[in-house]
Amino acid sequence: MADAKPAPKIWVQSNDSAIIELDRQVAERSVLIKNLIEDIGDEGITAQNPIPIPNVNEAVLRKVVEWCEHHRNDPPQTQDDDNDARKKTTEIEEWDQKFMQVDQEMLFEIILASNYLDIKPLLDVGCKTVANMIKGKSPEEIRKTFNITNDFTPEEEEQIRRENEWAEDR
Amino acid sequence: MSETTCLTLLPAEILHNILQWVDPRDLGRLPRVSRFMRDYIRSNRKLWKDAYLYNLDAPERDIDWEQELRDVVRLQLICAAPSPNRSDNERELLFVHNAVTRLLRHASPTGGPAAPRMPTHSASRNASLLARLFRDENARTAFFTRSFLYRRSRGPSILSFAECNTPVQQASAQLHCLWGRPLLNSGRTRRSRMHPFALSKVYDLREYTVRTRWGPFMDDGSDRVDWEKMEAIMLVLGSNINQVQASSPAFLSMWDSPFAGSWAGSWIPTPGRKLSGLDLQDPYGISGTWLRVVCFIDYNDFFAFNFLASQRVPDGYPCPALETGEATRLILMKLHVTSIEPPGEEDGQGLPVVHFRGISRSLHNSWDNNADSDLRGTCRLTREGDVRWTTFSIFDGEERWRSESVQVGGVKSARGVLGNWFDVYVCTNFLPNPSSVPYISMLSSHVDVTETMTSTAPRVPRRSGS
Repeated sequence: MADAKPAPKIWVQSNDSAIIELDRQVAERSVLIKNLIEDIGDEGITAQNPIPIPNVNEAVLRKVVEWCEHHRNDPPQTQDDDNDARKKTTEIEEWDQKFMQVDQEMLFEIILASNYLDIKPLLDVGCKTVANMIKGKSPEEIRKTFNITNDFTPEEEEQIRRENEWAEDR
Repeated sequence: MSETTCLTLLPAEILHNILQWVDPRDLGRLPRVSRFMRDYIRSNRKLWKDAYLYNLDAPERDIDWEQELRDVVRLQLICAAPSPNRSDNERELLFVHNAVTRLLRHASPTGGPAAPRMPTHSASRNASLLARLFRDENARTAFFTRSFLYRRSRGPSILSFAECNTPVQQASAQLHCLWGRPLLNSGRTRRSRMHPFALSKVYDLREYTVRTRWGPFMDDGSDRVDWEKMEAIMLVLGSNINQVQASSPAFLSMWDSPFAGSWAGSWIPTPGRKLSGLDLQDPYGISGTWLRVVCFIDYNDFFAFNFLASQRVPDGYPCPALETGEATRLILMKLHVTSIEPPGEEDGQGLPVVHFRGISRSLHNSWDNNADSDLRGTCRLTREGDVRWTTFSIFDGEERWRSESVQVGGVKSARGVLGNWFDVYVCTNFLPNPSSVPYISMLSSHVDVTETMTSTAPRVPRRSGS
């Protein structure tokens, strides 16, 4: 539509001072930003006076914005969906799977950022991705994957192995 | 990697969000990774609860989430590779029985969506999980075919009743009934057909005494369910069920679906069903329309089997396998509650005793008048908490037929009620009235169909079924 108004814009600033412009609709995937806009009104937010996102650097923030752009038209998640374990699924849609093909540091940064920005669906996609990296692995494989040091004494290790024998093949 | 970006350094609520998605089995491996992981997962009630609810039905009450989930994992591992060693196998069977019955007890009651193609009972994740676990033939053979009946069929030695009714055999027979698809062969040879062995159990009059209440109960007056007899009845019905296939597809789909409706509260009433007064207070869900399937052998076969052939069987030994055909009939019953009383001393105390009345109509033109009668009966709990049904068929004010049966899966289960239907004279003088078939295998299923029951008169009495 030629006479349609341009979509209202929002500006956010990463902790390394990068300013990113995005559609208000996209920004509102973040419940934190959505509430902020409702409180102060979007007139107060300009390229000169962006919303500061103090916990997130530019690379991660751009990645999060990319996800919000793609999911701009998703229906908002309701509290009920979240509480009903039956509606949960570990399946991750194809686009999200590709989106999450990043190094582990970036993956954890995205999880932390979506937690801070209150973007529950992105947080869940991130957490499911990590869960899939754990599934079916032996303790040693999990240590290797996540660079965790085995800090058990041999006695402790034997005891904890016995305590968890129920999960092992005979 | 920076400080905050390591799995074990994530905030607790994020770690929780991650770990709720892993498979239950992974929760047994993560604690072995490091002290931090051990301490995080150990006794983390919320995590175990969320992991349980993510995978299984929400139980009505709080349970020991960690222990239950561990047992589910163990059950999965055992079913995937049952031990070939016999004594290990028996120990495993008792564990499997315990874990399966608990999963069914904690299965989701009605309220969930109806299971696909089966409008009479709700879907359950627990039941679907169990159906998946026993898709493997090895698991079924290891745990569903360990009753005395199956041992006999494997021969070759002659077994006495002294080797019968062990906890392992009872547990296996009960699992088989809950699974609900009768395994009609114990092997691949002709001898391994289970039907003749089941017949020899079901039609052995020695099994019916005042102590067994003339029905599928233990021969000790305890009212404990004899799952071996229930299993034999299920096998008999299962061998004949194809004869009624066309009559009731909904009924048949139940027989085809493992663990379908084998839990208390699984039955879904027809939408828009209106109940009032006593029917509303009845905890057993008696009111409505029931489909009764009965199988019986010819009277001459029955007589010969009990009074000629069995003379050669010493006390304490089962009758030989019985090779004969049976007839199968469908009966529709319409029931309503007439009174509700507190349980008696010998009853289970959890629920009242409910009396009902109704009518019964044959769905066949060819059968005799025995099916068309008035009915009265009671529903009560046994001391062990099983649902016991007793019915009497009344002709011209006189009680002629009686049934004793047990609801598989418990109160308001959709699986149905298995038991015996018999001539009341059996109870009084033991000698069967030569004009009728004294013992019949029976399954009642709450179908709540709405069509009117039509009488199919005229009929010629043909009681011997010959």
